[in-house]
Amino acid sequence: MAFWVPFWGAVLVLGLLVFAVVTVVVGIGGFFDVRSLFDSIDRQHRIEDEQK
Amino acid sequence: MSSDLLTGISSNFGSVDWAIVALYMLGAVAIGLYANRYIRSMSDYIVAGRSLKPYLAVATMIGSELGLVTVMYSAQKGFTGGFAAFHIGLIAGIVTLIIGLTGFIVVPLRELGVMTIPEFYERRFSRGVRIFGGLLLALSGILNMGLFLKAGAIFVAGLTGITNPTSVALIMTVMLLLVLCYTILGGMVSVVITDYVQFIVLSVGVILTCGIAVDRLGWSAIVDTVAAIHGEPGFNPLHAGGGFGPSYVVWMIFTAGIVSCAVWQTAVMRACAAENASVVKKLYAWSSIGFLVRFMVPQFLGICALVFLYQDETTRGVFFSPGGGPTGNSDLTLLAMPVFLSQILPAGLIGLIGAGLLAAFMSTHDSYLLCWSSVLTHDVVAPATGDTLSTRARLTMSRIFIFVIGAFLLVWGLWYELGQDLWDYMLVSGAIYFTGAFALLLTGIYWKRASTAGAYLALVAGAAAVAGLTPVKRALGLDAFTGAHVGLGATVLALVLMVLGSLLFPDRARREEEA
Repeated sequence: MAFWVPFWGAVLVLGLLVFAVVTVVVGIGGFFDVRSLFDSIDRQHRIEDEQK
Repeated sequence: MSSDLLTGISSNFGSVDWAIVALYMLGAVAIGLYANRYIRSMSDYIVAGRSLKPYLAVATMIGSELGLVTVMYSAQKGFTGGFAAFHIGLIAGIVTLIIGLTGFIVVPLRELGVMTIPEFYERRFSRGVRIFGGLLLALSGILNMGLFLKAGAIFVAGLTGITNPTSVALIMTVMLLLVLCYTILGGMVSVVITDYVQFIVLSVGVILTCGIAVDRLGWSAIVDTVAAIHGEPGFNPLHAGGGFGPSYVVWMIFTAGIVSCAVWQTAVMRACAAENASVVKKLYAWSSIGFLVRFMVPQFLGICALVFLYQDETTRGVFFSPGGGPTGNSDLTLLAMPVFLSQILPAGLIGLIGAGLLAAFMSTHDSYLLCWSSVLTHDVVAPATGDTLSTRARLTMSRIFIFVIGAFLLVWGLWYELGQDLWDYMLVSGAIYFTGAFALLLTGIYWKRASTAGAYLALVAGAAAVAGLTPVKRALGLDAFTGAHVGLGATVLALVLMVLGSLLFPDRARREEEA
């Protein structure tokens, strides 16, 4: 138990810290990706329409 | 039922919180309506036109995998297993990172341009393997999500303090109808947007909740109480005396590690929807932290629930056996975490966390409903009818399947008695598909001699994993074996039969090549 208590404590704290950073980065980047997703699907549809 | 036992246990959930939840749900439906204008083809519907860029792919992957059901079963594992349960998240994170760095299985799948795993079966083996594999995959997947509604109902009861089972059933039905509504309308486009919103709300919510829990209970008290209740097995996952042990850890490396990110269809769909192979690798590398946290944080909340409920005389009598250990009633161990949240979170915040988790519940449902209905349409009905179905017919059929699966979930959730931890139920029901699928993917991608006969044998062998479900185990007299034993046995059997079947019955093209 002497090994496991500090080990799991460190894993938990590190995991939460890294996750907090990922949340901020992915949250901001994801917002721009949503806009890009709609643009991309619109573009695909326009190309399909032109090919018809 | 557990809801009767809630009488006398108050909840901080109030009218402000209900308003937050209602607004959140209506917002999700509005997204479905908006996304519907972007749906024209099956590719738009299933994989969002293959236009997912890295950040959104990561958000939707974590958003989908960090669902309410994941939170519930992980919290239950933390409650029943203590800190030792953390090994599941650690393994999941490390294996996902390795897959992100190497591209193992997922990059070849993306490069093939398939939308589902059974589609790979047809390209590599035969149309028959695709239909049979697709049917097994859908049946296993639908069975796997069979208790989602029940878990959701227990969560709502625990969080809100509603003790009337009819009211809980009504709330769950309304929520299911909302999910069906926006999934049927918006397909993958609405799924990724709702997953993104849910990722943000839930990520902030769980980090905040962990802080409040530690502040309220104290780290030393948490460790001491777990040590008093569970002893050494509460910390050491390799200790055979607890709920885990070496065979369970090996089973986790396979299931929580490889399967959950590289073989399970809902995760693989994200890889298939990515823009290219490079995005797939980034998606998995970034998501590895999400795969760690999706297990570990809810497990920690389960541990905190264990400590909190043990300290109070009233709740100790409900959630613990007279000997001092956690109760053996799986409904109650599922209920512990939401009851704990209802006690420690203040009004307003509890509504936000509740909305986030209920949205997570909807998010998992929408992904899974879309996934299994697509598999049934795309991989079973369409190839069985000689690919004569029009795009419109396929979309209509997918939507009908979504509705039928939803009806099944309502019935199964009420009828089936769990009898084991929810996580273990889900692994075993999923194993009906993934033990065979792993053999097909591994050998199909990396071994030229893998044959159609071997593929059929492996799929049949994998389906034997159904023997790990508690009622089936009891009926077959296999009580001495755990779900992990049965699952590992089925995995090895599927691999052995895949190799033997391929060597003994090679495909005709290979035979001719060798001749």
